Amino acid sequence: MPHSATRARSSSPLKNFARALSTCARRGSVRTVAAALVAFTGVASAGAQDAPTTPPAPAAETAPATAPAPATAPAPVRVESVLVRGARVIVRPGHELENAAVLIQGGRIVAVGTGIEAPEGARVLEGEVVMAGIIDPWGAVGLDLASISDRTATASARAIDALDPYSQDHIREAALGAGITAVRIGIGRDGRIGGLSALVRNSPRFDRETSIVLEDASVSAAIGPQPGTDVFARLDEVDRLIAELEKGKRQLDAVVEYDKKLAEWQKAIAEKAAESEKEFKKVQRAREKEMADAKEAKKEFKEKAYKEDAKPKAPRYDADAKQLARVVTGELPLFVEVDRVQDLRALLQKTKVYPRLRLVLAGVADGRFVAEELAERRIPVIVVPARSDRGGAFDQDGFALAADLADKGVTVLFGSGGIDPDASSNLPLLAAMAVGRGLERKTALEALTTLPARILDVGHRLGSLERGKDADVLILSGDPLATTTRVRAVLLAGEVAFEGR
Amino acid sequence: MRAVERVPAAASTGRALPQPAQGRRFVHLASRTRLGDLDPASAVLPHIPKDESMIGQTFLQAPFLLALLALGTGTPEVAVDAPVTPAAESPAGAPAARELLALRADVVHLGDGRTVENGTVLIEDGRIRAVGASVDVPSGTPTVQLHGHLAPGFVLPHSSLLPIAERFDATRGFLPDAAIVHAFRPESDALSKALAAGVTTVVLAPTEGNVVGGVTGVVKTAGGRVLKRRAHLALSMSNAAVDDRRFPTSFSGLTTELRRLFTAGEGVYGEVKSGTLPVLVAARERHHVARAVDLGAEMGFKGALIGAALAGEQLDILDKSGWTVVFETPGPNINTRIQEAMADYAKSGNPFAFSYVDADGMRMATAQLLRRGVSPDAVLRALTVTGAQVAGVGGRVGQIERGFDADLVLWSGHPLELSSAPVVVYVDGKAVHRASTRPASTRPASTRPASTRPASTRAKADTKHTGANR
Repeated sequence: MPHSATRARSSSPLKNFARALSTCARRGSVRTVAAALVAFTGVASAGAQDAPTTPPAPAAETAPATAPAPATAPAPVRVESVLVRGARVIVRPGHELENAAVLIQGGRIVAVGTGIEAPEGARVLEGEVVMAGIIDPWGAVGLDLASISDRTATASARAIDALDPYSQDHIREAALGAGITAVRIGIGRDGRIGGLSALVRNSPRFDRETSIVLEDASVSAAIGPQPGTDVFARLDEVDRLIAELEKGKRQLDAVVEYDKKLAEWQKAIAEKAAESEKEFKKVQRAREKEMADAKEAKKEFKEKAYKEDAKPKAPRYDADAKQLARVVTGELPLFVEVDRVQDLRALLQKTKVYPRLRLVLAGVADGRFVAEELAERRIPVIVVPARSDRGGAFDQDGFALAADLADKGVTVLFGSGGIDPDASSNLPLLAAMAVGRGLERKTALEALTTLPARILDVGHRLGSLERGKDADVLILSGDPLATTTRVRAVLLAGEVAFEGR
Repeated sequence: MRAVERVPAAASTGRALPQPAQGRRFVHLASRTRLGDLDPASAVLPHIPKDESMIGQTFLQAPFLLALLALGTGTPEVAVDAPVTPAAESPAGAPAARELLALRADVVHLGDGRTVENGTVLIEDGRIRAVGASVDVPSGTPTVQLHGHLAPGFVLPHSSLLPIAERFDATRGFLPDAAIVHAFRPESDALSKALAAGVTTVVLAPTEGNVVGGVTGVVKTAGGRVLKRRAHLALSMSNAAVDDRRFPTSFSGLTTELRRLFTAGEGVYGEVKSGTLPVLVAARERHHVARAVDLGAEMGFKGALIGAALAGEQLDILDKSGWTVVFETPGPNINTRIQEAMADYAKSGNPFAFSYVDADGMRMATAQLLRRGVSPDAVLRALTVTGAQVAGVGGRVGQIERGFDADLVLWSGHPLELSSAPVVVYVDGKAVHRASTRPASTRPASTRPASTRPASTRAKADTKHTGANR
């Protein structure tokens, strides 16, 4: 599965290629041309793999897959098959099958439905409830602690560089044991902007291909993350965040301008070349004459200067601005931790000028005050049900926040808060608590699986048990939101990563 | 219910109040108190040192001050309240005024692990007269059909429900005669929240900062009615008790002093040694636990260890030791090692209970145990039967059984499911709390049809006879 861990948009490989090429042209480096070509082929192949999987086609679920993995695997990947049977298979929240099975080959789901026979040599697992792995869109599993709150992080600082996949095994196991298969981890909480978050699988052993789902899941930022920060300091932080976005926008404008000028220049050069091609003899004679004249006059021969020789100057390379530009165009979502109502209002007001910005708000303790606007602008929020002390309003019920916001039409996700690696494993319990405070069960399940996958742009790979998706599968002893439910086994990309006692 | 507290008025005088005659106080208390298990001996005044120079210092102690302020205003101490049910204390007397109520529920959890499907609980004058699948209900008895699970109100044998000043008062390490029932507010919001979460009885315990914190009390969260005035002697052998600003400043000093006090065996220490007063010992880390168990073995006392989160790693000491572990419930983020240890201890079959900080913390802690494979019966038992036993009111609350107080909670689903919620809370047979669909303070106007309300809010009581349980 040569999935590129960077955000490769299967929809626009050509555009990516073009962008990569323009980058190389700017830098004039051969190595980057090669990289661009590699990227292009990588993207193209990823795109080809995704193609058959994108339409989930519910009709196909009942059809047993007798064929091997769809033309996915020309390379010799895992041929091992796993069949997971469940009395209740939650294909996706709201779509469940009774006494059904999920067939997994090469790390992907190749069939979901009733009456699927186990292929020869397949490993068979069984459980009461089978569902997709839970995604924590705001966690800290595996991160070096100093990096989580790093004040000096910039937009191009990467969370995967702070990842220590060799420590915290017990935390990773606890998270897997609670059904959390993937976590978005972010760094630089105390900085002006946090840097690139990553989406990482809780694999027990580190394997880059399986463990890192996305190394550029989002850019993150936090407004006044320390409780008790003065309101003016927090509003100042909002302004600084907007200044960062502005930097991205300037970079974007500069690149667009440069691309335009470069195209003009290339066109002019081409015209000149065509002209000289057409009148090659004449041009050559003129040049030879000039050389001879120069020699006769014992002068140094100087090539005639053409105005086309002035190649436009590329914008200065700025890694941060580059990532910020991706945010401004909406290529990367921007996750902002923000709780107080003043900060929320300021942020919502000041981000209106970026129409393509994909804002995701985390925390939102005072979210009830801006629920209508969040719903209207379709800004998803990540709620930590256990946290009720971050808002300005007195004595708020954090566990009811999810239900209150969902009632107003806001898209709600659950997260563990991005500070405490241990907290991820509580996510299903916190969701159950929110259900106890009035959230619908289906909405709660979506908030744990399909929604985070969609918002992190991995909806085609994770979040549900549809054909073609990565086989991150939970086998449970009961309903996912029941307190007494235990995780029997967890599959990560088709391999058993956890088995309950 | 009259919640009596005139502390602020008295406090405004800004001076230490005169010490009233003890005799008058006894009469006063006895005249106002109708609680069956309140013996005169339990109404002891806080210890006043004979040395005059000490008195001023003593008045700085918040529990003393509160208690004395209450006395100074001529008011009985805050804890004594009019009983919820007037005749509840004397089922034998006044046969004419018997008040009957029958509650039927889909599932009745008796508290000891047994359940009855479609069970009926017959309540007479605030106490349970009968429970079972087929109970002989006298004709004309108001009957309420409840949809959901009926369980005993939870009993938590340790809590943090005292006002802040009381919880952090650690100016003096030894307050053996302080009575904690003098130091709480019966109308406090924390008690109402506990009641709304299905916790009907709690033990009020003093700060962990004092080596000897005083005598605990058991109260019902509904109106703060005192159930038992002298429940335990609260000791602390944790880090908080060792303070470099006052004696003792080390664990060896602490243990030596406790050994001396228990050996002398005067006052409460004698009661503890004779077995009439159990102990609650704050012991968090493993060395605290080991020290407490050793001292108990040496001096001949046992009781409960508060906050011994790693008890599961000390089964060599604690297995069948006779001590009960009371787990703290700080909230969702209990670290993995502690969760494991708690579950190991719970699975070992040794008795355990829970301490109360807030409702969500309590429920998350129980859920974490369930997720780690502890059986729901064991956890429910810890919240009811074991809790009541540790509190010293085991024969009175914590079970749905003949003769017990009718402290019952109707849950929308299984009481330990986090997606369930308490719907109605009965104390002494009266419905004292009913859940609104969602807390009004946080509940914005809904734009969705009522049918989308979750199961948790769907359970409701159908009253067949009007006014049956109001």
